[in-house]
Amino acid sequence: MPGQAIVFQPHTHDALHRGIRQIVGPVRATLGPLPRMVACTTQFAEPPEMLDKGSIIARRIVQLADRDADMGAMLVREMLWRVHTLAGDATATAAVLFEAVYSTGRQYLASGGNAMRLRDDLNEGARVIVDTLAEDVIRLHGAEALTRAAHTVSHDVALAAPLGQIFDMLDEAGQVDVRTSYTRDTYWEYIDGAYWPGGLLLPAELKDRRIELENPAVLLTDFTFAEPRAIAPAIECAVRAGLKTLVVLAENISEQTGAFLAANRTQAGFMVYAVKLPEQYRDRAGTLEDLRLLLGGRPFLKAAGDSLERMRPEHFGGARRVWADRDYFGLSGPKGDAAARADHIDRLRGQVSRADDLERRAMLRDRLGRLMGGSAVLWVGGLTTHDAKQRKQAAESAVETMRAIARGGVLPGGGIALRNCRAALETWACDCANTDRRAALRALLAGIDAPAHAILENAGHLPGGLLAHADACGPGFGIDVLTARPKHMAEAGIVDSADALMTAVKCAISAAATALTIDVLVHRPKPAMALEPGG
Amino acid sequence: MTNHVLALACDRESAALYAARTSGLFVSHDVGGSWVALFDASAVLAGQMATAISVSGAQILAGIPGGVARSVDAGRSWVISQFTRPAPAISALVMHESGTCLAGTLEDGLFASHDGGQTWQPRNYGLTDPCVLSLAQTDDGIYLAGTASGLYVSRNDGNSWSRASFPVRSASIAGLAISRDGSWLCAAEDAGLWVCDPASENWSHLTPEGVPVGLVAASSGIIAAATDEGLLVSHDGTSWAFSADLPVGSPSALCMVDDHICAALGNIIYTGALAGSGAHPER
Repeated sequence: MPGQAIVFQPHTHDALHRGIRQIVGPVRATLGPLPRMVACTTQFAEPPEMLDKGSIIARRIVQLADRDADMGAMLVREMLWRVHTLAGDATATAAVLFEAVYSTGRQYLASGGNAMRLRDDLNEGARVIVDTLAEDVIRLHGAEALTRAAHTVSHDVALAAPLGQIFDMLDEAGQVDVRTSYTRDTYWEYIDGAYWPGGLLLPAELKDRRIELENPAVLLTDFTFAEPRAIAPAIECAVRAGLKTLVVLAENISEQTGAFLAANRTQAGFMVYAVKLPEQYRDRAGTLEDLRLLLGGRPFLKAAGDSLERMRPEHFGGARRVWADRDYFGLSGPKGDAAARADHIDRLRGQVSRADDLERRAMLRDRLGRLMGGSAVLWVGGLTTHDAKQRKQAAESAVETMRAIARGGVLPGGGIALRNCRAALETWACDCANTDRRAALRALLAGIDAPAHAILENAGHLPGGLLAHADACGPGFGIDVLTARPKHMAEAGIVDSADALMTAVKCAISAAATALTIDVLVHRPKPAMALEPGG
Repeated sequence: MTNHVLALACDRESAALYAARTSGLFVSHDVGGSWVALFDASAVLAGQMATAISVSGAQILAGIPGGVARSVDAGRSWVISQFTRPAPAISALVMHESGTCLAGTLEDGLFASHDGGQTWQPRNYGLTDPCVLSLAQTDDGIYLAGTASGLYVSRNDGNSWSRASFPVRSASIAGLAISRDGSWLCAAEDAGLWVCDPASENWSHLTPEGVPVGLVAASSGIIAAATDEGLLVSHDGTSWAFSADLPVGSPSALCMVDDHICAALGNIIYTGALAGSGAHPER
């Protein structure tokens, strides 16, 4: 087994910086509207994976051969994944910002500066940047402004208009399903009401059937009906109450139960269908609660030991319209208590805003979106199947960015919002004799300039002269990299998600400040690759 | 057979008064003195119930069972738009000069049209209560929807809705009107009449405590509020007096035309001068 390695200064910063550059390099290439792609090898001799998202690129870099440099790379990797988890975007900006702050900060430490005091000043400076950004946030209203923002986000004209229209109608909570179009066109449709995955429970030969029912009663259960006698009390109750149509939401039904329902469907004046409960396994209880509030009535749950023996007509919920096909079921005009539903929506909104994990937030937002009374389906086409697949992935990413824009507004794009923080930072450090703070200022100024430089370099421009030209045009001006001309970024619709940018600033500066405090690297002994039997 | 009045509306330009009844749609050009049946011009609509009205010049939208009838020539000819199944019961209609029209329904939420009422689509994003009782629009394109459990606002042509900060939780908003200064007047059945300054979204209570208000209308600085006891009228929003000559009972429809106020009780429409001379039965 190899022995432990311990690395001291001046090698520590060199090693960390080597690793940081290794991971920031490929991520940096994806920044801006004219990015380069990163190809990643795949298993089983498949074509390389083409990547343009910083978080995914970072995720693919698992371990560098150089163990010292690997520690620096993993610090950046962890920070980028955190930005992705919190904001879902702006990872490339965070990577570039991190590298610039670290690079400038370590020069100060090499000249004898104190790392801990520098860290505190960098974190304080980050707060100044975030506060300044917060003052510049612009809220977008109307399909036109949102379409311009969507174009900046997606770099795809055909996608921009549908995205602008969708987010003019839906807010950040809205449910947007992105699907591959059956044609080459990209378009969207509004779906009234709510729908879930989980289709009709019918025999295989009737699987492609679609039903649309008016004013059905709905029985909400999470039972698996293995025997017809288990479901019979509900049908008897519905028939006795004079109900014409019944939908049974259930986990599953057996073939015999299906045949029993089919036999009852043949009775004149009464229809009964079974529909599979939504497949939201991660939050089944929450989904059942949402359905109860939409439909009204009383749910019958396995966990509560319920049975249908004592069913009464008031236990049925209902909706004006229920539809179901092989894969989905949906409803509109829910008959549950509207006031209770409004309170539930407020509670869910609070939970979404407090959720600090992207996955949990997405799950809660998915539930919230289905309660809002409408949703959108974005159909993305392409010239080839591969093209359609790529555009669908780009559309899914753009939807998340547009959601962040709808939630937190936008800031001028092209790295200009960060450059606009220069004056606030200089005021913060003005007349300060504290050398640590002056060093922090230098590092932060380098950091806030770095994204604009990277965007222009990626587009093949020399940043220095162009940015000076933009600065001379006045506040808010930056370079439109497509034309290499100065433009007022916000007015031109060249914007970034404010939430994502602020998250990137906080995470990148905080992580760089912490990385600068590392003085010694200690490597654990490498584990043996294989154990002897019985060893 | 009953011939209840379900809605009243007036055209500001021509001062024509329209009445939606269980027997059809009627118009009066002499403030209720005489009435002409408008649905009789259409073989399909003749005898059909009208449930709601919105009028702007020669363009008329009338709620009928399952859809909306539209006329662009003051009722001489009609085109019917049937909405999606199940057939909705239209409870309120508004029409904006931009071509945006909204139809509220009692169980199916809202339908919107952006081509003057030719095509309609459901638009219920954010509207968590599908029982819409009343609609109103401001001159600057803000739409209000009163539902059985609260007030909703749309600032994007009725495409999506958000819950307004109405002070009474889950109040049933049966009547809405916009006052001369642009304030929102909101008749919350059990909670009385409220006014909101749209700039600050500050609400204040207008009518005496404990008086339920079903409907509200406003014109020329005068506000009329329909209560169980009759019609309350105020010239300043603070002092209220019951309108004379109107029988006790809660009006089912209310509107103001020219310098007159019109209220319907059962199948009778009462009109009165806004100056306060009282209301007189006309039909």
